[in-house]
Amino acid sequence: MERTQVLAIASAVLLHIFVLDLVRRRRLREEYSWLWLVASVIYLLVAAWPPFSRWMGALIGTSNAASAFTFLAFLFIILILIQYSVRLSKLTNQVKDLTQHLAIVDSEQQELSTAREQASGSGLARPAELGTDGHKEN
Amino acid sequence: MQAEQKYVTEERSPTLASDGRVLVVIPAYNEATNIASVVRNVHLQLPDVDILVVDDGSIDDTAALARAAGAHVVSMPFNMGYGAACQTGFKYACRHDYAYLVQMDGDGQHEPGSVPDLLDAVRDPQVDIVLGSRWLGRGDYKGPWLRKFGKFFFAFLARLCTRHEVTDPTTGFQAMNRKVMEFYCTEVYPVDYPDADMIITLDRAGFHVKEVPVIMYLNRSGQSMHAGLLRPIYYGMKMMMSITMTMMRDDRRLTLKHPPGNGSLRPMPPIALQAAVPTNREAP
Repeated sequence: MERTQVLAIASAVLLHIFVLDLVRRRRLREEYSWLWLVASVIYLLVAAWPPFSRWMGALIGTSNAASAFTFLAFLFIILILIQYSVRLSKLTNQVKDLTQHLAIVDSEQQELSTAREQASGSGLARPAELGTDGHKEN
Repeated sequence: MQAEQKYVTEERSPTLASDGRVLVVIPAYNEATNIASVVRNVHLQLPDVDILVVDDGSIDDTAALARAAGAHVVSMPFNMGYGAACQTGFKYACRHDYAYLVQMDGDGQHEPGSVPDLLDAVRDPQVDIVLGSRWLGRGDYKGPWLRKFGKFFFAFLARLCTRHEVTDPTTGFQAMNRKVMEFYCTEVYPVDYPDADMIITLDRAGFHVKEVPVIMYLNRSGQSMHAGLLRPIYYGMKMMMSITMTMMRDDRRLTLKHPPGNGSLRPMPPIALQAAVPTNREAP
């Protein structure tokens, strides 16, 4: 076995273990992990089983297995990055909505407590429908 | 809190928003020098409207000064940008069931004396949103040539796409009715800087847009949102792209009954705080 092949197999196995360990330590959520696990398995196939990379080359139409692998890997990475941008846009939108919601509720809560302070400060009875600490019961 | 169909406006607005209450929304980012006088001037013009200052994560005393001047204040926990701040105001207005909303800048560029003109125009049932234009008739705005060119160019594009006369599509001085407010609370509203693309979107969604002349002044203090060399270029490119995208979208999707969803939060339920929260209008 060539040294490059040993290196490739070792890094594929390490990648797989690393991803699994991230899931185990709750640093990576399961739904994001499967993609990387599949990628590392394909990586392992390419490294350990030469017919697979030849088949990949035939699929693309080149006899050069290395360039076929590079092309497919590049495509895969770009698709993942686009998928992340989409997810990021969605998250940005959710953060925006939550922040706006929070800011509005916070200002209402402040006005309520100010109103109550003024009411109790001027000797008026505290409105009964307001809870003792100003929080709405759920 | 129950999920109710907030978007079906035809069933809601006549009953709940018929008293025609008005909210003036003023997004403000580090406007401590101007905000108090803007709030007071609006109150002088229109004593019985409520004013909401959306403090967009200011690091100065904007929020406290606005509150002292008699405005309601919503403080964003961090700076989110002009569009997000405006949208916060729209969401507040829908939640507190205002019938009309006026949006104006907190830096003193927009003359409070023009607010009644905008309101008069938007109370016409034939009109959904009124844009304050500095080019129609009066006003004495003179800007840098690049901005002038940009405004002319995008006004031309907006005119081309909507087949209406739109002289000042970048205006942040506008008045709208409840339907537009609720439309603006959805994901169609851009969070960075709403512009000519928004007017085209409104037009394609079937809202009636009208322009009214207003008075605007040159920004006396503070920097323009589009200052610098790279920002105008980026802005122009972004604008071209969003206009193209707006034209390519299926406008049937843009109705209130089917708002586009990109992980959007359910609309906030309305709240009846008016009894409990007095407007702090007693302040000078």
